[in-house]
Amino acid sequence: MNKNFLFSKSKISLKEIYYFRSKVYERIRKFFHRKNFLEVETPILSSNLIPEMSIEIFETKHIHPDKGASSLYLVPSPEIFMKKLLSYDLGSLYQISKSFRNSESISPFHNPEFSMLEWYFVNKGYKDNIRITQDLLRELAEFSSKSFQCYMAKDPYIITMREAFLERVGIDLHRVKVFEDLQKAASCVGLSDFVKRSSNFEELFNFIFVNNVEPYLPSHEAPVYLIDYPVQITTTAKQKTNEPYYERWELYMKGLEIANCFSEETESDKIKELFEREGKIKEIQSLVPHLIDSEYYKYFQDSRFPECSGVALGIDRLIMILTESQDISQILPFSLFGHEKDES
Amino acid sequence: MSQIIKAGAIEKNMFLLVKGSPYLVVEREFVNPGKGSSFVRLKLKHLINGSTLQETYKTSENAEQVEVSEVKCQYLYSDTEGSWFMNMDDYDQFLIPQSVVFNKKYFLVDSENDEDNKDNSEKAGIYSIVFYQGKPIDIKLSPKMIFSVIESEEAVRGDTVSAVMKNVIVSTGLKVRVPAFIKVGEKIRINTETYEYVERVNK
Repeated sequence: MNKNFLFSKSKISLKEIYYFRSKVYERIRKFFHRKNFLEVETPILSSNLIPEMSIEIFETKHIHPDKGASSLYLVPSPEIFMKKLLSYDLGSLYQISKSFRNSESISPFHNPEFSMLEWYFVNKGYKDNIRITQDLLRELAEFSSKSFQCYMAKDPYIITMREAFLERVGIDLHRVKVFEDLQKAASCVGLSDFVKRSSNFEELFNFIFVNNVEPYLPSHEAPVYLIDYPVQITTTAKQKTNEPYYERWELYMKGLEIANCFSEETESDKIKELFEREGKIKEIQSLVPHLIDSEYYKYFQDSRFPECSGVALGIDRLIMILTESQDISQILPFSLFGHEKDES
Repeated sequence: MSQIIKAGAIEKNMFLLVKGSPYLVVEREFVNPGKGSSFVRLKLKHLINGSTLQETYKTSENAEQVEVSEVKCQYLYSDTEGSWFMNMDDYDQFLIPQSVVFNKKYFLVDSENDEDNKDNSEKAGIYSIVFYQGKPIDIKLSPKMIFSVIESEEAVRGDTVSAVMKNVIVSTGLKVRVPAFIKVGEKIRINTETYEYVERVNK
């Protein structure tokens, strides 16, 4: 049966959850207003998207009354439009918007439609955004329990991916350049099963990360910022000067991944190359191929695009944590899938 | 017998064959670390020796689902070796070792003491036992069951913010935290997964 779940298993009432979300949004807006960020609104329907292999998207059709149909896509994040705006010298920007991701597993932490808080801090790097994120979360913690306020009051753990791999599996990412290096290193530390089951660097890296590293991050004690991702994992982040890592972090809280941040790549050549390369892979491998804006790099030409750092934060997951909910359907009254076992 | 499924379709409480051994899926979590494959991280419990294992699959990989059978059996009694049941089809009596029963011993009641099915002799003390290759490997429990309180401590006052709670012991020996108004001899409903008090039962 295809129905939207209306809060059948929640401990929080529908009324409470709407008031809570409204308070959170009000505080987020006040916070960014105080910091001189401009709130923007950008389209949710787009005729093309950034090629991202990790994401499957929702496709729909626009029907012209006389000329027939053409494809449109629901954005998986507001990034494509917010970056265009950044090249128009609007300064630091933020947006709360709906985002859509297809073909993700049904779980207590996923809904195909979700709310994203995305902001770009101009003339600042990814580490500056750790400070902003901590400030924001500490303010929002006021709406949560005492124990969560204590959790947020602690200094966060800032752990490099290299440190995490060294400590958990004894692999030094500094010495691992290509797939074969990682295969050898993983075999040496008893992970040859994952070596056999992986067909490229990223897959093997992720196998080890998911199985041996991520579950052991101390994010139940204090927020964890896992920083500096290896360059072999392609992103639109900027590379660290003279180091084989991207300026990127992911925030983990209470075992959940909450936010992702890059120092954004600003060079048009690199953006052009990335779009061409990833676009080709996307065309072949993705379930829902989509059009790619082949002119996107032009927004980055002639230093139009400012030095900046962007954060994407999943608001629904954040509200789960603030309300100490176990399941996203508890805080999304019309979520598509109810996940919790029926207890009645 | 087993059936091949995609790892992305693995669910909690499913039985899997991993490296030749049968396991129960205790926890399942999807992880999408970024580009490329997504993964499913599992916590598994060995069906014979009870040991646990953490296993990670790409959601596109194959997994082997074990075929098990469920048989209605009546709980008889427990001793130091484990718990004795009777197969209701052939009246065969058999032992489920303590290593398999584990904490479920707190939820085993015979037909005389089954508070949930007091007026239903056909259901009283009956459990679904999961068999794998002829061996009992799991006892299925109702999500919630009713038990009598046989012992109670005095509630300690002082914390005026939260409700006053105290510990009680129910007929099967399980210690549960309950609101102060629960008395010895009363019946309470307990969540068999979390071991937590749900509500008082008025009958």
